[in-house]
Amino acid sequence: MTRYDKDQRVPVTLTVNGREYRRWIEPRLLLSDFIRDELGLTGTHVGCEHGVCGACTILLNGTPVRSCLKLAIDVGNGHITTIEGLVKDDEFDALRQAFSENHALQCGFCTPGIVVSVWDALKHASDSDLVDWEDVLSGHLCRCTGYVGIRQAIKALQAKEGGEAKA
Amino acid sequence: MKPAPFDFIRPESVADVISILSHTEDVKLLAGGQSLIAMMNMRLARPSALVTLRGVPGLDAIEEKDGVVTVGAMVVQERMRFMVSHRPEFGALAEGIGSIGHPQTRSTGTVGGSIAHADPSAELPLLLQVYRGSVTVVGPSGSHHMAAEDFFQFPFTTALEPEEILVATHWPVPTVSSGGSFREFARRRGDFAIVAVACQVSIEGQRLMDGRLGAAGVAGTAVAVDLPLDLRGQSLIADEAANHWLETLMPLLDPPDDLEASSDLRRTLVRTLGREVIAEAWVRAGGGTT
Amino acid sequence: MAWIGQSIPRFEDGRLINGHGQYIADLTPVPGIQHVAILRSPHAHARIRRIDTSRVGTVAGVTGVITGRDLLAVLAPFPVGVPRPVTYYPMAIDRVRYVGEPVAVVVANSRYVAEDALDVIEVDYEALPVVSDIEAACQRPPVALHENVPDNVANHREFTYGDPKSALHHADVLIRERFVYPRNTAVPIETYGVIAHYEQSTDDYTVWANFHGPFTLHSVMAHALKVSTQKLRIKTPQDIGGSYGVKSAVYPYMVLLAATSRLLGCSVKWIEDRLEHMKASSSASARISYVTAGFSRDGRFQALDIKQYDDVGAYIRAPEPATLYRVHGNLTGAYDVRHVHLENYAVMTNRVPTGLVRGYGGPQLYFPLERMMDIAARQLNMDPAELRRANFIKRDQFPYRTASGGIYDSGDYTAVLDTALQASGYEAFRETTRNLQDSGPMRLGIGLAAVVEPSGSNMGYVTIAYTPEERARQLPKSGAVSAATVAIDALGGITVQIDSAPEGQGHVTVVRQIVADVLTVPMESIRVIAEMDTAITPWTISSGSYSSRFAAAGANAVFSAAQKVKTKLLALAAQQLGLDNKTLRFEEGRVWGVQGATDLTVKRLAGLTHWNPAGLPAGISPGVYETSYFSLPNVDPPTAEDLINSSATYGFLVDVAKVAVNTETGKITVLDYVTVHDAGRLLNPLLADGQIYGGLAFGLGSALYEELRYDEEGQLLTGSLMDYLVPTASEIPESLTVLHHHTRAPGIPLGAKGLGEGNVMSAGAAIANAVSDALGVEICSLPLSPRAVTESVMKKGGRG
Repeated sequence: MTRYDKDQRVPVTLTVNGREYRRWIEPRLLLSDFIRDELGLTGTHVGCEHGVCGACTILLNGTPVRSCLKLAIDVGNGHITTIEGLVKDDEFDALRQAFSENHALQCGFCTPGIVVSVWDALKHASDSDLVDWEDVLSGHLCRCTGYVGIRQAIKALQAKEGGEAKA
Repeated sequence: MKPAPFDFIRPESVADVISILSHTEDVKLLAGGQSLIAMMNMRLARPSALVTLRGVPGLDAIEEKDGVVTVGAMVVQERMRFMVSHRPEFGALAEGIGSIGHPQTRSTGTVGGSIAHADPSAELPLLLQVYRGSVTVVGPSGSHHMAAEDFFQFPFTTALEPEEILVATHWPVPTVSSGGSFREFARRRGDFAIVAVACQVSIEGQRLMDGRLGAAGVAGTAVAVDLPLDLRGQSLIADEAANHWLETLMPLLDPPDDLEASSDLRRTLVRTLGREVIAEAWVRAGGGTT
Repeated sequence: MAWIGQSIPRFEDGRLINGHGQYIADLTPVPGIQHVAILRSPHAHARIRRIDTSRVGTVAGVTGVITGRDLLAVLAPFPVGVPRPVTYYPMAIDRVRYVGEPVAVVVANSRYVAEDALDVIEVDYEALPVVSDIEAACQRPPVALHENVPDNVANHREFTYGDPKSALHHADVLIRERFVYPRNTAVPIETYGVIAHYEQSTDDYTVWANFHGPFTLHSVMAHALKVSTQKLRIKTPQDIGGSYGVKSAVYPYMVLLAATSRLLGCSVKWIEDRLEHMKASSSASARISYVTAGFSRDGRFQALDIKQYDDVGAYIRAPEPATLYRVHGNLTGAYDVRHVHLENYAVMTNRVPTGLVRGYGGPQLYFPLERMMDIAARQLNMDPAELRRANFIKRDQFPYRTASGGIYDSGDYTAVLDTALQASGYEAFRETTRNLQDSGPMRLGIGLAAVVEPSGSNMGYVTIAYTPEERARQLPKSGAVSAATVAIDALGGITVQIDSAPEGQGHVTVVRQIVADVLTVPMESIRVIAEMDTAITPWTISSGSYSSRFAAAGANAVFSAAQKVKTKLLALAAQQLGLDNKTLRFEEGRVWGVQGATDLTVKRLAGLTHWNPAGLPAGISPGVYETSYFSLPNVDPPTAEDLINSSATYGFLVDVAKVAVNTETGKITVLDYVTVHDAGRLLNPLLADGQIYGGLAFGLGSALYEELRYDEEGQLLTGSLMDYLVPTASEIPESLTVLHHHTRAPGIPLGAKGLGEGNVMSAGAAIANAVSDALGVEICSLPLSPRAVTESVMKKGGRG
């Protein structure tokens, strides 16, 4: 059993976008702040810090989670992918293009979180042909687009992949 | 906002957890954190110490034995949903879990966390009662079993003693000729339910043999009733039978009156959704529709 | 290639999708920044007996703390735009007037520590009575919120146009109804953020904030900081994470942070928390309207009388009471009504001060007006569409001067209505519902709304809050101006600076389309700077993003500046070629004469002005750096008769909503929604549709979900995103149709009118009309929660 005092700096090691980072942090540091402030990866946005808006969504060990509802100390040795990590993937171009051509973003603040979720769902769509897109999108608030362009972008991506998700 | 400071404890066993709970004031267990961290960020919860259950052995297994599925407290909701979504006899459970929050919260929100949190409008406490489930609790004097209806006591309050921990939930597998249904009424997709209802029935030769009907969001805890004895052996095709069953549930309701819905509207919703889930459970169990 | 008018995907998108946006929270523009947390009042109204900050210093990491009284050393109260001003500082001094009002500012080395330190500040409050009822407030208020305004009425004005008294007296049918429009708010996903730096040696301030104007507020801030305006430099980040108007009200925090920087001697940064935002940023005004409308038996709309009470919150904060006046010129909507009486009250309550929210003043007007048209249609036994058609301003009446002074520049309202009716299958649906037998709890309904959508606000409209006599004692205010600069460097690189501080509208892309068209160069050769810097950017008081002004004002400033560049370069070309510049034109970035292409390119000509200025002919100055201040037409100050053209141009839209209502559960399902717009020429239809979808989502949110609800003690009940219900994708109907007409704005070079706010003004009325149609109950308030719907059904008596 290990106990860390609230004022103590604790070493954590996290793999973010394929790179291993070691940092000394307070126990209470939120994962969202760790990513933004300790690592300088500002593509992950903070919109509510109570788990509703979805702007801070990242992949933790391969699944989308709210980084504002995770403590950095509690995901030790985890593998994290942020928007900056997805961009490096060759297949990301198709997603970027679909979002842009369908005007699926305006101010762009919610966009990285949405892109992380959509990316993850598309990856799952290739093993199972059924993604409940309303369920996926319900985890994100966008105030600019009325979600119309986002739905259209997803449809375009689905058509490209030949999947049969109910967009 | 940011959480107030807290000590962070990483136990290595359930025994460690119980020892901490027995010797530390003002301590909270951290499971998926989807409710707790939000409350801590708002500084509405300010535990002086936080005990993570992540990595504690024995809390993240799903096992099936003797007709009961046992789900470790740290199993995340999405994993349980995936498991039951391939099992038609758990249809209501799959639908119910699918209504919890969003995939981005179910991916890390745990089954045990939701059960122990005991939100009166949450899905899992309702489902555990409708499936006649139970929990295993471990404390300083060992482990014991508790039926779901004894476990949930008041809003956000369970029968857990301060030094006890919920380690698993148990879900009896419904018989082959059974069916279930879940519905909820919420303002937005993924919101906490204003009212949720669930029903599970088993039939034999177009006759009702057993069943359970429950509702959440309408009392201090989720409430559920068995199939009334006088309906046993009857065909559920008639609306009157469904209404009769629903009337046995209504006395357990003490619905809140808030911005979204009056007490009366909540009662109406229990009846409206209740008729739907009973009818659907019947059909899914193989019942005819004339 | 003409780029204007094409659906060009945005140049902005790549970096935003990649997570490379630069928002205020991402910036560290000066060294040594410390972090701010704000202690806020838990009371809606209380006297502050004592504030004890003595323990703040015991928290490790804290730099300092200031309270309201400390501000007196460095600040003056904000100027206020009404004849009965109140004393308003960015932090409470001795008395708090709304839940969430700032009481103390803590500065520390992290936001975590700053929040910790708030816990050790002790404030002794003496609770005071709470003002919440806006009608009662101005009759017999329980308590005066400000010493010099005993009735809490910050502004009261009465207007008479024509002879409404007689017209109402002689009307065959009078409709009287009371309507309530709720407090709701914009909820951008990025909250407010401010960074402030005070330079002691020169006594000047630099403030970075996600503020987007109107930049007339720059002078309000400078006044509060007691510095001359050049000493307040405001810079906006490259990206702003949405605003929809509400971030215009970040300005009190800009002043608060600036003062904090000065008092504590360090640079400070504050990123607002979501809970702070919901409680204490700003919101739309709630309004109670009493409407009386007079009609002839055959459906002629003859006279309109409106009495409106706005809840402007605890302080009348600039630019309020503008909610009451932004639509003053288009008060009568799409209808030809000459007799109007209007009485306006801006009432102060113990709630957060109000301000700009998308639609500003529009939904508060059109919800009652367009609901009233449906009520009238039912009483006159006419179809609601036909009653509207009968009273529409006709195509040959444009330009049309409204009774209250608006100048509708162009439109074809009947044609838009026809398109909407056809696209929605209006007749067929009505026929179906007429023949439906009520069985079970489901009811179907259809509803319309017709909205004249103002854009490009006249800066003079706000002064109509003053009487003509009071105005006569002030300098006149008017205008709707935007500025832009087009520069070409020595090797032909083109940079355009605009003054709009956009937050997602795609201005950068549209500017590239315009400049590429004028100079016939590739869009890739153009870089657009859309960040505002009041020390560098050419700007004016009306600069900024608000009142849907970019397509009408900003785009034309760019167009005009590009034309200046073109004129200059062609003049130079004419001199170089020895030809008459009237015979020259640009094509594919090259000068063409009557004989065809010449050797001269835009790059070459611009280069001449940089590399060999000594060789330039008389009249051609070195360099290419052309700034245009473009003024929209017809934006004069109010007249002595209180006539005001409150906006420079007016688009039009008609919405048709079809709903299914479950009378048992109160659930409303929007089956289908058609919206037909006429915003003139569309500069980029892809982006125009995006604005419409966004505005419509807002409108649907306000119709069905969104409200800042307070209890009697003035506590906010919907203060998180769990209970203030912003629609998610699942709440937006899949069956949405957006169609366009293209009646050009005649006085505006590019012919475009603004859009993006219209559906915020229309959707509440269209949905409420559809629900009223479905239930046979007149809906007079929003939002239509299940609770509200079932209570309406019950009031009607047992139906369903």
